[in-house]
Amino acid sequence: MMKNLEKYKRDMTLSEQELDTITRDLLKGKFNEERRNSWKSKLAAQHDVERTSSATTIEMKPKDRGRLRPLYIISAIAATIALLLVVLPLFQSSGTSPQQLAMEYLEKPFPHNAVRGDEVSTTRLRATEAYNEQNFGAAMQQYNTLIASEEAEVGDYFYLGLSELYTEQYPLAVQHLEQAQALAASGKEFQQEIDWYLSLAYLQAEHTAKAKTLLQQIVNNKQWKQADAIKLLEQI
Amino acid sequence: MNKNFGLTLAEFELLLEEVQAGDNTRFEQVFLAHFNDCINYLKSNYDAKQEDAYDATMETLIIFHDRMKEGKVTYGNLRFLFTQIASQYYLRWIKKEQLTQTLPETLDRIEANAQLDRETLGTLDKAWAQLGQKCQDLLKAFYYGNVKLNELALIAESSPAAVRKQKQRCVEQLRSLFQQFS
Repeated sequence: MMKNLEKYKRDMTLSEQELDTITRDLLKGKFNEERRNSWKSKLAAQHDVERTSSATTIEMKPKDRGRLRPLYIISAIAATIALLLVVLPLFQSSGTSPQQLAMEYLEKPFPHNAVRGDEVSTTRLRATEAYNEQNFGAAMQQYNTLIASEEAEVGDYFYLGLSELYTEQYPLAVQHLEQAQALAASGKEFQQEIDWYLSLAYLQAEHTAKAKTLLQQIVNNKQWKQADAIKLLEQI
Repeated sequence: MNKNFGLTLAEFELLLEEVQAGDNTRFEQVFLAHFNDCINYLKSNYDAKQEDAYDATMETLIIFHDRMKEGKVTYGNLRFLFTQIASQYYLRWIKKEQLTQTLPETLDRIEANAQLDRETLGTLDKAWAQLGQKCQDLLKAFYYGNVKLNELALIAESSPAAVRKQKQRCVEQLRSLFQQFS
């Protein structure tokens, strides 16, 4: 693969078969990576499964455990105290919590431009109008009507989640943005926007681990808002 | 745990049809729900670390999905097959081919999935974004979706020869864009 990749990059002659193979490998690598990232965020968001354990553990073989125990405990206590001494002043001096920073990103509502003429149902049109007027209560009512009538699309879940986010109903926002994310997985519509706002919803709902995973995914995939995602990750 | 992840034969066949048609909704529902079981299996059987067990299970999921797409997975004991692929992948990857147990013949060809380095992936993403939608659809369907040229010709209401030419043009265009961004 690497040898052919160099040829592929350098405009050197490749047989049709070589070109075919390397194109297949490249595209397989690209789409597999997209699948990995999508499954990673779903595993974290829907099944609480993450690559790293939430608790920091020091791996030891069973036979070592008894022998090292006193030294290990003393070292762990000393390290914890030292860490607290270093870290606590940082928190005290820092004026911005991740939640506060997330709140700043939520000050200006995400615009709704998705009016598509005759495709729009009356309910959706009312929801869009209410949302754009920042009448989020009325918008939520209309979106919930669409969901109840099983006509809801990914955008409806997305804007319902946003309306809940702007009205500080964080658990509901998480629920509906997760539903939007699940629906968006098969298409491209709103995918990156959902990821960003879902990460903010996670932060506000204090699902910090999930927020971190999703923000990291945004950074890794160079998605929309990646620079802001980096800022938030630095604060968490 | 149910040896077929709770799927009946009919449900499995439906799942297989959906995966082959590019719909992964049910596949994800079933397999992501059992992801942690496989991690725990690797941890308890091979003393695997969380990160390694997670990565091996993720790669197994990719392999399993590909095999289902190619119609190479049959109903019977899906859980056994899944955990055996995960075990083999983990052992080959972590312990450098030190296989300690006999594995089913069907698993002989488990190889690492194509994983691109960050730089290549970034270049490819930029090139891909510049490629026209038609080329994207055609290349994705042919190289990733395993859709044959004559099937693509039927969909496009065109001849296989014309689709083949179009595919070649798209391949060259992708390469040219890749070189620009390299």
